Amino acid sequence: MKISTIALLSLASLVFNASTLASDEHGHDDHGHSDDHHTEENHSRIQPEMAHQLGIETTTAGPQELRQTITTYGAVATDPAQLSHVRARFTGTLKAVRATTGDRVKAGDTLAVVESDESFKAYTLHAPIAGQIIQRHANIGESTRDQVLFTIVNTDKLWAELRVYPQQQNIVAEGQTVFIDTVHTQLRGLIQHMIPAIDGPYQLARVELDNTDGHLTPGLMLQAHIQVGHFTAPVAVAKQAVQKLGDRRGVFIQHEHTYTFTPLKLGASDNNFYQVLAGLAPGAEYVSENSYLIKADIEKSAAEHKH
Amino acid sequence: MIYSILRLAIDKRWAFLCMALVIIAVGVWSYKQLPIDAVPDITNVQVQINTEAPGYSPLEAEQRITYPVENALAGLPSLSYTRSLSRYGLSQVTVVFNEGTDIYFARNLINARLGAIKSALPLGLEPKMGPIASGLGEIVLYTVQASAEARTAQGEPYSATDLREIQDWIIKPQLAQVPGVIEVNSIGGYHKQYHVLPDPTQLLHHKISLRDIHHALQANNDNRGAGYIERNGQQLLVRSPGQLATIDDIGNVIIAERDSTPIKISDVAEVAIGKELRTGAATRNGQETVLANVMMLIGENSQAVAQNVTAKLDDIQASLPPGVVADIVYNRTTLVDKAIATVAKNLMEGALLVIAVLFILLGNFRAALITALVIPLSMLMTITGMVKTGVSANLMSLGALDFGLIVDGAVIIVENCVRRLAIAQRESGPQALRERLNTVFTATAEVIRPSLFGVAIITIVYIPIFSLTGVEGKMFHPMAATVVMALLSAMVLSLTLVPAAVAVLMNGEIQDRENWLMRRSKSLYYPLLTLALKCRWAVVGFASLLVVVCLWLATTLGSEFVPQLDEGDVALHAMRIPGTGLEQSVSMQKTLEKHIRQFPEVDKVFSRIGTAEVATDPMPPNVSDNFITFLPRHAWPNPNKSKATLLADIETSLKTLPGNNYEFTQPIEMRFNELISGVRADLGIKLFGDNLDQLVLTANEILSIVNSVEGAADTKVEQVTGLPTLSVIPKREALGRYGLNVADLQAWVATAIGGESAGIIYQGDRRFELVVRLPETLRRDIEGLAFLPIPLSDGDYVPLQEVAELNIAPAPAQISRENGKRRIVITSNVRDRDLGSFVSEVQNRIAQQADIPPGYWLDYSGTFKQLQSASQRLSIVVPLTLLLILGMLMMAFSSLKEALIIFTGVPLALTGGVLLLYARGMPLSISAGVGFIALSGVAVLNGLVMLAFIRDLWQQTGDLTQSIIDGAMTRLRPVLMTALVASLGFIPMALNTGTGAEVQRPLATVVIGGILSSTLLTLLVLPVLYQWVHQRADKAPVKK
Repeated sequence: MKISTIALLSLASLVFNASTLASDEHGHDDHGHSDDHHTEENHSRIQPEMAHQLGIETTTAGPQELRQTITTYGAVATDPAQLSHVRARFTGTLKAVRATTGDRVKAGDTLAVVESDESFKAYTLHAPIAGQIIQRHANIGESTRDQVLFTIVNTDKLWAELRVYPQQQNIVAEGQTVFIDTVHTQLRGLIQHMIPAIDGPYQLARVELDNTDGHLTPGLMLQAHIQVGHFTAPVAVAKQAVQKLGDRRGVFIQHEHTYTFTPLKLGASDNNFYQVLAGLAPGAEYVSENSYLIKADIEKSAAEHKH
Repeated sequence: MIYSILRLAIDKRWAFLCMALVIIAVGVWSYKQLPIDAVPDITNVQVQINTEAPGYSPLEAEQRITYPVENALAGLPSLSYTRSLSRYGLSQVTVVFNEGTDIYFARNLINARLGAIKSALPLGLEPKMGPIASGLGEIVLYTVQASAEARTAQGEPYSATDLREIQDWIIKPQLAQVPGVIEVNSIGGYHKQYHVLPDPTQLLHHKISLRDIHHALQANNDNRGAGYIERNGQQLLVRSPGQLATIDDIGNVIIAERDSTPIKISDVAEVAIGKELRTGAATRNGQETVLANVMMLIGENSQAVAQNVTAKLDDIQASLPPGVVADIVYNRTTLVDKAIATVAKNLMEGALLVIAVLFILLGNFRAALITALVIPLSMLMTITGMVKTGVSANLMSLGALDFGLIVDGAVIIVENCVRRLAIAQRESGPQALRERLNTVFTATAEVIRPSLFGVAIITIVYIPIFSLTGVEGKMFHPMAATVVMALLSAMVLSLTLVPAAVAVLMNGEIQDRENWLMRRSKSLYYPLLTLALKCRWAVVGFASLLVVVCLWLATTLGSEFVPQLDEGDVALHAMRIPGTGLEQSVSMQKTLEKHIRQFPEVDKVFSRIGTAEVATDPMPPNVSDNFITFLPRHAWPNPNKSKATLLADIETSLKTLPGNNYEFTQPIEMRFNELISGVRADLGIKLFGDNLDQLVLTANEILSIVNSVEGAADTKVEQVTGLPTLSVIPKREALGRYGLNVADLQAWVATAIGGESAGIIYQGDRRFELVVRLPETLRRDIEGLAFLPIPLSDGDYVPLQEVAELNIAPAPAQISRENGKRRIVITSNVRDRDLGSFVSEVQNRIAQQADIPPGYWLDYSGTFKQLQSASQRLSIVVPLTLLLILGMLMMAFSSLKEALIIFTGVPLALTGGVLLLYARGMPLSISAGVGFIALSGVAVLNGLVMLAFIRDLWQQTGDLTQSIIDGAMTRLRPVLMTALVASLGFIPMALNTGTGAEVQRPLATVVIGGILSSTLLTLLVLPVLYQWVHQRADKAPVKK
């Protein structure tokens, strides 16, 4: 625009025989800057109809139960008390074998009959625990020697041994609730005890699992969520409601058609909520859905087309 | 020499008339070659080098790609400058060459340099040069969409991915074959990809890492040829096919063996068709679509290419699945057709008006015919010249053609011949051939000098326009060139063909009737002239006053660059805050489009968001380019609603939508701006340096200094930060404890979150990427990332948070560089103060107050720079031109005095131009300036013709006053004729309201107003001045 003024005047000066280049008129385009506020803006006005159309929704801030969880992985292990390696008390020859791999036995069920090499008396091997026979190394006529004849395991009760690495160790404690994802369902359990791992820098959080339906097998890897905090916050806000304006985090409070940014002091959080330590009274109506639109509206003067 | 040419023309008149046929033949042939467009191409000679770097953040893109590429280009011949930007996933270096550099030469140079640095770039990244297209290259845009009922082969509705596949593999390959098409650039939808999405728990269970999956996929997806075997005389080719083709194939790939059980991909991962991490999207009428942009090779005829593309798209339609259509949403032809129709209408009507005037005023049919013949002939010669000089036909280049001006020289000659022949016939009856030819020769010779001089002067006044550079130069050079070519053609014609035609056609009885108009004019003029000569002080005083008043008026008119061509369609930038994600942007865009659609005037609205496949316009995802096309006016509820009102209504309505900023522009205008992309503010201070934080710091310091200078307005620092970035920062010690390298961690992060290509799945010609990455739910769960297991070399694992810190912080959204250095720009406009003093004060203050660290430096640019150079050039060229004209006038008159008298006609002529501009409420613009230029030429011509005659009379009679009156009375007809034809020739242009008329209107307005005033004043003021100057020495100068 300025060029044209100058060029014009210069061209005109050809004609006027004078070469004045003075021009203080620059023909700026003034539009578009009138709403360019430089004051700290923190609110936006949106008509209800528009808000509805855009999917802006509000929620009332109030007390909220927060469940803080961390994710860990670990393997399923059997209870040492539920695993039995049955051997013959006296070395001898097997006279009869009454159980085989896969059989479910009760405690005291007969597994085999052994004839002692010393006394030549036959005695009965009983199942020491109830469970399933998963290994059998016994056949009629064989010598028992010192080997394991049957392995019985009871998987009705299993343990999840979840690895807790140093970063998490200070927040994980015995007694905490654990949610374990399996292929089919989510199990719930408690951390019975924490034990240090023998060959790694982590601890094992042991959780007893009920496996009467038999879906779990020892050695299976699991993903688990340990609930490291569970409390009721007097005021909490939904996580997706929180936006950052400048350096401050906060939510947008609705008052009629005006949405005002309210900076918050946020405390602990879980997957869905932030605890509000300061800045928000219970009962406040805050934007819980599509809050980004309001942030965008407030900050939009900063959006420039850059190439 | 002039006389011998004249003599030859009259003697060999038939030969010269035959020459006309040659001119016509060549002209018609040239017309077929003439490139036609709406506006002149103002793009500079530039080459974009785009390097796609999937997953690279701005910092990495700059360090690994932009820097080596830029450095490789340093020292290229004809290099003007380089600029670059580094964004997420993209490095773009724009190389600008000096004007006039051959683009293919430039690209060759770049190609050679790029070849040399290939090894310095990260593996797999390939810099590519952008399409060879200019700002006028986007000629056709179309969308690909499916009707609601249409179903794919699988019986599902078409998804954005399906549509993109159709675009990429059916439409694009066919369109790319159309001659003149250099690129078909698609945006929107998703590239189809095959995704392998591993479950971390399963990976742990089977002790398999992402790398194992990657290796397995790579090692199990190839066809190999194995030569041939000859057996029993027959040749047998050997090959081993092993490519994966289906999702099941991929799932069955075996990764490893555990406890003699093979572990397949499907055991640990889900395999599915997925979406790429796209950088751009497109919407139409509130729905996602696939948008493609057909780009034209530089220098092609947009009209022809667009028509071929349209025809090809019609053909392609037959090859698309039922229900899917490729629908053209923008077609350059529409605009070009309209603009050219406007120009053609103006020229046609102008020519007809001129011919009519000639008939009326000359009162002689044959004479009028001869003069009118000059119009088509000179036009054809001009077209030939345009083709030869590479000037395209457009609104600007054809916008200053006034047939009235062009025929001026011929008018003067023909008029004089008619007069002389009539006098001769009256005196001595019908003439013999020889005598008649002699009369024609003397009559022509009498006025040939002033007439040639006049035309030469009109031509010369266009010279300053050639000194404009940059955008102004590109816009107005073609205009000046065309006018000059037309004038020169007319000059040649009036020297040759016109006398020849007069000699041939003006036989028999010559009618030189004074028609009633001339008689009335003369009877009106005589008393006025004598009155003026009596009260000469009043006349001169009034004229001077008028000039002064109009000068003042001119300063109040306001100014603009060039009246903006109304393209009909609207381009609207919608800008959201930086850091806005693409999907969020798309959803905001949909609302926006639904809103625009509510206007009944709107036909289509479509947009592209972010960056297209070929990054010709690398926008971040928070910005969208909307195109709005309107229904024809008669379909509007109120057909008289002005476009400005409509746009204002749209803007008001859009302002109610939260989160968007808008900028209205037009498609071609937008493209030019994108390509030229200079600092558009009055003052731009570029700060160069290394450290981004320091740059921002210093820039802000400079900002406050500039703000403290009086007159600063809209001062701002270019925004460079503000893109939230999640950094996964390795903990080196912890990594060491677990036996991991930083690279292992990074590779895992890149694959898990960004995804890594593990090969290509071929389906005929179509090829799709096979990508390994974590399932969407895990990728998006930022809090959960910390817990994800990183595999160790012994098959064990460790959670990410043990070996890395996760940190979200704002980072540079874009890094801009210029001439090989990082740069940040502070821009400012100036209000209520002259630019020159503002700039020097800013420079002084910055030198004194700003603390600019070593290694950082400043460069001042902006429009003030162009202003400086333009005014420098013009301050040399304009006086030179003045001198040249004066010199020519002196040559004609051998008298400085008379030359100066003629010169006074110029300011008088301008008064009318200014007054008419004022009356029509139009601002000053370069277009109007060109009008003033043409005008001053006409004014000089008028004065020349009149004074030459008066002087001759004075020399013959010795009576000054009587000579003035007689001379003026005799020249009344030619002066009126030249004036009337010149102003009537522009009347259609001044009144037209068609597409593009706004560009031509100011020029026409100025010329019409100016010629009216100039004629009146030439007729009255000039004789007065002449008498006044010469009365003291009341004796005729000696005739040479």
